[in-house]
Amino acid sequence: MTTITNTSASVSQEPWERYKHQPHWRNNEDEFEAAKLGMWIFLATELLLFSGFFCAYFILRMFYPESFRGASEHYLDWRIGAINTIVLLVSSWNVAVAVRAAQVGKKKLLAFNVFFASLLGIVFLVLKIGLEYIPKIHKGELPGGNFWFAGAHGYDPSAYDPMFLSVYWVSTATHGFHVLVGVLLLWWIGWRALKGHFGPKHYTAVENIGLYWHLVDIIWIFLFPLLYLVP
Amino acid sequence: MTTIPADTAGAHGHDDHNVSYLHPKGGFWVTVWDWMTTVDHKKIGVMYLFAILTSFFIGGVAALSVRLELFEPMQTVKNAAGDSVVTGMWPFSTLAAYNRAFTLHGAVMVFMFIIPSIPAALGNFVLPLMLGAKDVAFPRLNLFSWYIYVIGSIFAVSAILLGGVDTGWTFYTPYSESAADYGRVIAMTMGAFILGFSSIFTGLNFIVTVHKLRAPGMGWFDMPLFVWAIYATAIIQVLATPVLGVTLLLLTIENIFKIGIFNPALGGDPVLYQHFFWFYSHPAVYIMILPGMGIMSELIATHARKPIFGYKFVAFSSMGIAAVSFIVWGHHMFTAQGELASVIFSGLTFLVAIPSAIKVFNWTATLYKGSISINTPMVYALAFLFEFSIGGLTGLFLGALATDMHLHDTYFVVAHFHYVMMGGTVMAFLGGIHHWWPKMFGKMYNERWALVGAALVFIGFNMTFFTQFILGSKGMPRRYGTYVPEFQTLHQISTIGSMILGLGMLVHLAVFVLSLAAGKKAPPNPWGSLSMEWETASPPIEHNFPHEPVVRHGPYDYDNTVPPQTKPGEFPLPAPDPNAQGH
Amino acid sequence: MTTAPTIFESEAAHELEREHKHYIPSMLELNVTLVALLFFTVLTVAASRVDLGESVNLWVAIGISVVKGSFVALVFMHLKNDKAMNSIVLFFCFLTIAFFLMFTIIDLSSRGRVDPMRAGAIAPPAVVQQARERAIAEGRLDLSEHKEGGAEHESEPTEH
Repeated sequence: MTTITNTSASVSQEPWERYKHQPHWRNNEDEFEAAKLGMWIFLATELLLFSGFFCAYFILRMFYPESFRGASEHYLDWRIGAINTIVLLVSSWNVAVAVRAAQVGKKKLLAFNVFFASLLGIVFLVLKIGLEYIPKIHKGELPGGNFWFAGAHGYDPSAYDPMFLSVYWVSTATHGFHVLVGVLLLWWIGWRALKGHFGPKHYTAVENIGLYWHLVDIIWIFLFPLLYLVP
Repeated sequence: MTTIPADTAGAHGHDDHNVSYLHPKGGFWVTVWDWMTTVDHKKIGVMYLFAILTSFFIGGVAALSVRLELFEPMQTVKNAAGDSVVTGMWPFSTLAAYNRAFTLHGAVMVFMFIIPSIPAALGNFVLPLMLGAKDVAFPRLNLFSWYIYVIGSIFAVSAILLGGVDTGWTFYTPYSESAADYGRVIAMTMGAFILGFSSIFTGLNFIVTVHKLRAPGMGWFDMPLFVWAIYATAIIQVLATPVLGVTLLLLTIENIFKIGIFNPALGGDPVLYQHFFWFYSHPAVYIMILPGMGIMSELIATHARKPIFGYKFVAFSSMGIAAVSFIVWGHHMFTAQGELASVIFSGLTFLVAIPSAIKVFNWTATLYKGSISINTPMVYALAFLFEFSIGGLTGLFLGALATDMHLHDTYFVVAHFHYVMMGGTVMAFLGGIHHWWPKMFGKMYNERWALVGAALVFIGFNMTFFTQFILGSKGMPRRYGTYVPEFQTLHQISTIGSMILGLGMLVHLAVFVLSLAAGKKAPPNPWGSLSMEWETASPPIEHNFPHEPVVRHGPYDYDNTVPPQTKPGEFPLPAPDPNAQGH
Repeated sequence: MTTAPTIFESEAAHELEREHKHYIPSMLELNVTLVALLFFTVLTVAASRVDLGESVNLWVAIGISVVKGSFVALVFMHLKNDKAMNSIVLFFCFLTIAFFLMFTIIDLSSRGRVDPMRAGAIAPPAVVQQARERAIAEGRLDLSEHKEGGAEHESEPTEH
């Protein structure tokens, strides 16, 4: 992926010190800024993708406010949502620290934070799938036409609960998929960090994948209160 | 001319400076592998061109079959044996098959042909050259976009081969999620979903290219207007297409998992689907037309040898069209949405006509006192002016609520959008292909036969679609395979027109094939154009320019600049105008 | 996949042209931001417990989320120290989303007064009725007790 050139300089140089930009760019700085701009545009497209789920949420909540209130309270445990929120916020902090570590040349700190952030991402997914998705499947709290809710605390499901669950399932599943992709990308960055690919003169991939991870966090920041905390 | 050798092993040195990008790198399989793994924007553009023209052919065949079916209305007649048979559906045997044909025509033409057409085929090739760059910002992403296009097209074509889809290219719910065998709907929607990513990544690439890879000395207002148009298009591609993505994703999930967000039987809302769908699909039509308008600026300036009248107005109009395109989508839904929203959208829709009109006036003013060459690119530019104006004006009838109530879902709408999409974008695309053909392939095409093709296309197009305005205003509904006998004459004229149109396209195809096989070698700048792509060889070398280009003149400075790489006296400067006030 | 680069004479000059200093945030900055984010999370949960009316609660929740998102964007994503173009991209993205949501909500909230489903003329989704009956039959749902959940028919929302 990167153009690591072999100069006649000493072999003890880390790969990031020898980094040379792609030939159609004039210098490393142009390439870095262009990559960041490209990443921001990509993040904008991701936000627009999620905007569809938010639109569906607001419209259906406007149609069926009682249903949404009851469904949010009975089908979702806000404590799991809150823990997941904290997990992602801390992982975002880890990634920001990792980028800083690359900027000041601290390879081990960079790798540690990247891997720890990915670990928190896995915690997020485990909590979501283990404590939310799987019990929901067992209890029949499924979206739309698949709903066969198995009654808890004498809760009588309202007519439009499946609509709430539809929005919940598609938005959190898509978000969860993005978390999974983020974890894989973080592993890739962590592995490259250990090989010395990143340092003060070249850390583009860390910066960009960090931006991606932060976006995943921001989306959850919005999903959490809208889905879990309907008063 | 010294080059500083690169540090990497395997530097090619001086050889690159004389070798066209088309020159094969080795034997057959080496060349195939080179094209399959290339990150050269020119090769990617050429591959897109062939794929897009193939899609055009597929969609066109579907269209011709639709027009053939409409030659006669359905009738029940007694055959020789005295039995009642239903006729008038040839070449189809059922109306369900007819429905699948027009769905195919729409889906292929919209998603596989027209949306990628100019940006991916011509934009990819020309944009970096116009900016004086060696490539686009992210060449590997460009190759990835190409492969996504291929994969998405395979999905769409497999839906067709599996028997097709009859929902219309708009996939309105709940019909599109009610089929028991929803596999084909999913194949088609997933095809469009994947094609959408190709569009998004191409747009992303172009935006960063325009920001970051302009030659030294080229400010924003020194760029050709084609670049402005592509930039505005790229903004729309990046902001609107993801919403199509989520729409089709939700539709697919609805089909598989029955989650019901768009399904009234489960509490969902089909009009919500229409909002989702048209939020992308309206800006999409500006993705279709804006690059065509960009080409128009190039064709008219070059072939009338005049600076574009009102450069900044045209540039800002492109951006204005992109901006307004996002807030008018409800005009596709006047009969479905609530009254308040309809009023708001109708008012906003009139706004979008303004920048388009500004451009038409500016191009016309550019022609005035120009030195006009009547060649195929100019003929297509003139055809665009005429046909796009009709298309745009008829859009106003549809934007006004009172008249739209009568015209919605009639042939008037069909004629309107064909006038802007085909009479606009396709004419510009054909003009652009002819204009840049010498640059892309280093060969000239046969001008006389190309003009014959253009004439057939022009006559055929207007015969086909002008009659449809009349049919629509008389009440002929769209997407119907049959009609009342009073409409038959107009339908027959339309069908004959479509055959002439098809013939014109075949003539163009023959001219292109012959040009590639045996065309005259093209000079570097056959048209005497001033934009930067003409400052390099035809076809260009692999790295586009032998030296880093420096901007010495504007792209339309025809009054003061001798065009590069032309013979002395071939394109003389205009005589000083005795009445001129001086610049 | 790329062929060997050919460097033009002028490019040697370009290489040295732009050695920019990138902004490096301090650990203090990052830590304070994390603490702020956690604080606002607590605030979000607390605010949802106080009933201020449907719309107010919704806007408060969105407002706090916007603040949290801004912290992440400005500090963690370096937007406050970055080139303006990146912020412009984000701005136009939000503007587009705003138009999308705004017009759709305006339309779907201003529909004609008579909506057959919500007026009760069309029965609610059968799938829920079946789920209820099955739950009752299997003894998991006892309707003779105090009902906690939503009603069978949706009440008309207060806005039209």
